[in-house]
Amino acid sequence: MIGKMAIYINGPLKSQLKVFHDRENNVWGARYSELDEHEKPPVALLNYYNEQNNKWEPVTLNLDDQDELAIYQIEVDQDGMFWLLVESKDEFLLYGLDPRTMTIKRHLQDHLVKPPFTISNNTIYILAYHTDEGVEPGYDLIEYAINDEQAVWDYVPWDFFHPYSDNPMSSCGLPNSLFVDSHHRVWFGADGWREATGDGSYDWHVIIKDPVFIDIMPGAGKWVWVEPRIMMESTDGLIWFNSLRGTGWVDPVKGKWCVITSYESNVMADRYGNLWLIAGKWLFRRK
Amino acid sequence: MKKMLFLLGIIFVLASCTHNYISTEEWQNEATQTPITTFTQVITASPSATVIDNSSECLPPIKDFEYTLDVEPPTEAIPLIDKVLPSSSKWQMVLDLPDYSSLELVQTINNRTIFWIYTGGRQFVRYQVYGNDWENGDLY
Repeated sequence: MIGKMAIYINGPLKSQLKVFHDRENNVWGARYSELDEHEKPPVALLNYYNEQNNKWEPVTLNLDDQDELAIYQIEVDQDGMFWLLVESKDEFLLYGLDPRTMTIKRHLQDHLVKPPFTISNNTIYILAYHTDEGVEPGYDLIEYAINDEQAVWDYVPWDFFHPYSDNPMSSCGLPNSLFVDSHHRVWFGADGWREATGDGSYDWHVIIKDPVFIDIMPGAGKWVWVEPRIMMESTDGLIWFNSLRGTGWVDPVKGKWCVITSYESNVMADRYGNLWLIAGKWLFRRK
Repeated sequence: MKKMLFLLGIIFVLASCTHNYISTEEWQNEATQTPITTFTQVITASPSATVIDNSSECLPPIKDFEYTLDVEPPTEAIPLIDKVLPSSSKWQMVLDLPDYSSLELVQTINNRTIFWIYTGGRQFVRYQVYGNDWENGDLY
C-alpha cells in the first residue's frame, strides 16, 4: 500500500471540525471551536458533507450568535436525532436537532449541564452542577428520557471528581468521558462507575488509579498520571480507552487495565465488529 | 558527669539528624505507602460477564507510584520512552499512511467501508474497502 496517492477533501480544516455520521450514513462536521475570523470562507457551526461534489455545505440552524458558539460534543440517538452540547461563553446548552426538518430545541434548561454526556437506550446521561439552597454544592448525574422528556437525577459522590484539581467546581475536575456499558454501568471516565443494585438503589465504585497511566508530561519533563478517556465497548466485553500513555482496554471482570500501544488513537468498530486504530502511521485491524 | 552530659548531647544531636534525614530509598518507600487517592470500593467483577485473557499484549508501566504526583521528580534525566506498536499477534497492519494520522470515522455504505483519516496535511483523506478485502482498498 506504500506510495498510494491521497486526495484531500476540500473544505474546512480538520482542526475545526469533528466528523460524525447519521443513521443513514451521511457524514456531517461540527465546528468545535468558536469561529476563526481568519478562515475563508468561514466555517459554519454545522456542516453536511456532499459526496457528489466533494464539498462541505453549511447547515442553517435557528440559533443566535452562532459565530460565538462551539459544539463541544455531538451524539446521534437511535432514532436519528442529533444531540448537541453547545458551549456558549462559560455555559453549556443541550439541544436536540432533527436533521430531517432542521428543527432545533433546547432541553434541560433548568439545569446547569456540564460535559460530557452520553446516550444509551434512548436516555441521555449528563452531569449538572447544583447550587440548591440548603444543599451542599455538587454534581448530579441526570438521566433524561428522550421520548417523554422526563429527567431524574442522582447526587454524584465527590470521589468521582479529580482530587488533584485545585478547584473541583472547574471543568478540569470533571471526568473526561461518560459511558454506559452493556451491563448498564455508568462509567465516569476512569474514576469509577455507578451500578444498579436491583432494589432501586445504586452502588458507586471508585477505581484505584493504575500506574500504567503514568507518563511524562510533554514539554514539562515531569511524571504525571493522566486519566484515560473511555471510548467504546467491543463485543468481547472489553472497554477501550486512549490516553497520553497510549491506547488499550480495560477488562471490567478482572479490573485489568491494558495499554496495547504507546500511540494514542481512537478505536472504532466497523459494521462487521472489526476494531480499528492508527498507530505509528499504520492503520491496524484487530485480528 | 560533665563528660556524660556531653556524650548524651552528642547522641541526641546525632539522633535528631538521623531522624530528619530521609534517603532517596526511604523517601520512595514512604511515598509508595502513601495512597495516591482514597477509594471506597475496588473494581470488581460482574457476575454475568465472561473472563477474558488478553493480558499478553499489555505494555508494562513505565513508572510505579514511587512518589506522590505533586512532588518534583528526582533530578536525573528522564529517559526517552520507545514508541510501541500493537502486538502483531493481535493486530493486522492494513495500510501505511502518508503522514501522522488519526482515525476519525468509520462509515459503512452497502458493502463499502470508508475510513475517514485526518493526516498531517490538516485535512481528511479517506480509505475505501469493498467487503473484507482490507489491504486492497483505495485512498481517495
